[in-house]
Amino acid sequence: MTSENYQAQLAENVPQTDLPWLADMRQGAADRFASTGLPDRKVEAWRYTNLKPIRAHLFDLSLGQSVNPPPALLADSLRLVFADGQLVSCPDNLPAGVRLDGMARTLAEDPGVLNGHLHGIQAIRDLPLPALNNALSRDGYVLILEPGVKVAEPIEILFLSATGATYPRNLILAGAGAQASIVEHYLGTDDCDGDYLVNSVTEVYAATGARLKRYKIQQDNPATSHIATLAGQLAADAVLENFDLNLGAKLARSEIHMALQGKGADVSLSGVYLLRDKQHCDNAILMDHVVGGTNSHQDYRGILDDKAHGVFQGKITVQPDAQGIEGHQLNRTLLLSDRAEMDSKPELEIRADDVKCSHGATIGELDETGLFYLRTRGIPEAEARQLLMTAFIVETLGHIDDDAIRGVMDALVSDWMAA
Amino acid sequence: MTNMLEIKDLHAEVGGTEILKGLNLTIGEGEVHAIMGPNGAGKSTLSYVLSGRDGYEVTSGSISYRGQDLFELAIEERAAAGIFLGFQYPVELPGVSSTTFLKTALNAILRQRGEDELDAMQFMKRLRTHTKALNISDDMLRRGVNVGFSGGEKKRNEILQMALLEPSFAVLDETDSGLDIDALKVVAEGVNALRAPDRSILVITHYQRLLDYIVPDFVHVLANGKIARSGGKELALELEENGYGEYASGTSGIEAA
Ligand SMILES: Nc1ncnc2c1ncn2[C@@H]1O[C@H](COP(=O)(O)OP(=O)(O)OP(=O)(O)O)[C@@H](O)[C@H]1O
Ligand SMILES: [Mg+2]
Repeated sequence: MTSENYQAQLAENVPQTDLPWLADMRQGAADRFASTGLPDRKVEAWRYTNLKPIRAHLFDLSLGQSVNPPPALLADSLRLVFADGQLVSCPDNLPAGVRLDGMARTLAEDPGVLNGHLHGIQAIRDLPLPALNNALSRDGYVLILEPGVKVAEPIEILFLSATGATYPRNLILAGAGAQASIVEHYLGTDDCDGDYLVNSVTEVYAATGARLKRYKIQQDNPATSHIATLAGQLAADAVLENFDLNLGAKLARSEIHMALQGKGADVSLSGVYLLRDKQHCDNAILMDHVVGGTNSHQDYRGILDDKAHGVFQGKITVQPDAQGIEGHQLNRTLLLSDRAEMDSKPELEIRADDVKCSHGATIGELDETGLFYLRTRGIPEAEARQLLMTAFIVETLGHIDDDAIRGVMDALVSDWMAA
Repeated sequence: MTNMLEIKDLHAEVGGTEILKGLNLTIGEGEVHAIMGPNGAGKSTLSYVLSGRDGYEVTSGSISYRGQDLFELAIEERAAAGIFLGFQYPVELPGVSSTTFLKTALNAILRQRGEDELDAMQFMKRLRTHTKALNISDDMLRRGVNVGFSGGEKKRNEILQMALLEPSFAVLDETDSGLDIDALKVVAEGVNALRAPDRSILVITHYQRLLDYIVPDFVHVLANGKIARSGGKELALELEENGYGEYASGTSGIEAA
């Protein structure tokens, strides 16, 4: 598609607004996208992932439809449900100091709280897919925590999709010392041949001492494309733990940009990707240690069967004179088939000297000797394989310290393995 | 009475090389046999053939286990039928907790035998009796299977598995090597506790010392892929004295003193 074609499509589809700052922001994002279009594989960050399959769906905007959402994953959660990108249910009793609502309603009722934050994270502003999201997004969730607020209940957000393209736009603003756990669950409807596109953006601002845990479960339908960008900014002593479970979609990309901007900030990113058939999953991470005295950990592990293709690109950047840094990165992949493929590219870019950084990547096969050992103890082959597969990712799952959420993840993982 | 095991003219290859070259061995019910023999003779190969390991290809001969053709059973089915192999080199399974492993194994065997599986409480109770007898710490049980275990701990862990799974026929491949004298006694007690009129045991060892504790009914010399000689327990003493010189096949085999 040419730039003019994009211009025309964008002009038709960018939502109208009376807010000048929002109109400007959307138009600016539309212009940026029109000028670049979708990145191709000559762009280093997209070297391993071909976006051609999504091109035809970009402007096939979903209008939303009525669906019966499945039961919540977690008991007693504060739950929001989006169907084909539009908010359909929202909790009415919220704890004091917590705003949890749809983006569209917040923009309509109280846009001031979003101005300056929405699409505010520099690292992703000029990237084509977040820009397209910003131009076309109609809804998403907003979570604003007043300073010191600790939300006891987990917050569960379901994005249920069946058709078309949706552009969820999410924003988390955690005040100083605030704490919350958020589960973002992307799920396809039972209609299994639903072919749709999700291109979501979640921006996270963690003020001094805020502690956030975010869990993303990607279970989109097998024929679909799921593109997600997470961008975070952490002030001093803020802590973010993010866990990504990737199970669904044919084409999945999870891109994460983290900026550790205050001393004592700590980010831990972990993820498990389980792929089969011709699934493709690309985890791309940019960890930016802007100041000294900051720590980061990355631990991504996956299991690839059939002709699945996995990608891990993780980069740790330490800015000049950001001393006293720890940055660790690990990516391990198990290939169950000789036609499965993994590209792993860990990268360090360090411009300070007092740093402790490590990175490692391994790609291996299931341990045949281990399998034999288990079977000599009477464990049937399928069960033995499952034990070894679970063992391969168990450390990564161990980063989840919430028992209820861990239980949900374990069940999803063992369902995948038993399938 | 059916024998526990009858091996007839067994030929087996590994990686295209013939290792077992016409091995014959009969083990009766309730008997304890010991196999000794030079390094590389094919002792572990025999144990792997008995358990059905991939890559150990039987080219001719037969093995009947309690009257049943062993080659018809998959690895796990052999275990369910009562065959246990104590490995010369126990395998480390990082990420698989010892307790989960033991419970999964025991229940898999009970299930295949059509018996009731144990719940967590029943299992832990049974496990405790064995870990106490074998001096296995809770810390070892919490770790991954064999991960970070010392050589001796790994061997004791093999005996723990045997005790828990209560096999009818156990093959113990050099379970004594790497054990200190106290551990050797603990392991031997574990093995002797299993001795019963309807159970048989095959111990593979290089040291006659083990046979002071686990007294065998028969001792065999395996050399060059065959049983070269069989005798009573005094044969072990003779081998200790003279080595395997007279059975040596040129490349492998310890020279006689
Ligand atoms: N994968 C393989 N390919 C070729 N030869 C093999 C392979 N595995 C084992 N062998 C050979 O088979 C022979 C028998 O090995 P085995 O392990 O059975 O001996 P062993 O009697 O148990 O010796 P030890 O007393 O040292 O334990 C050895 O010569 C060994 O090198
Ligand atoms: Mg051996």
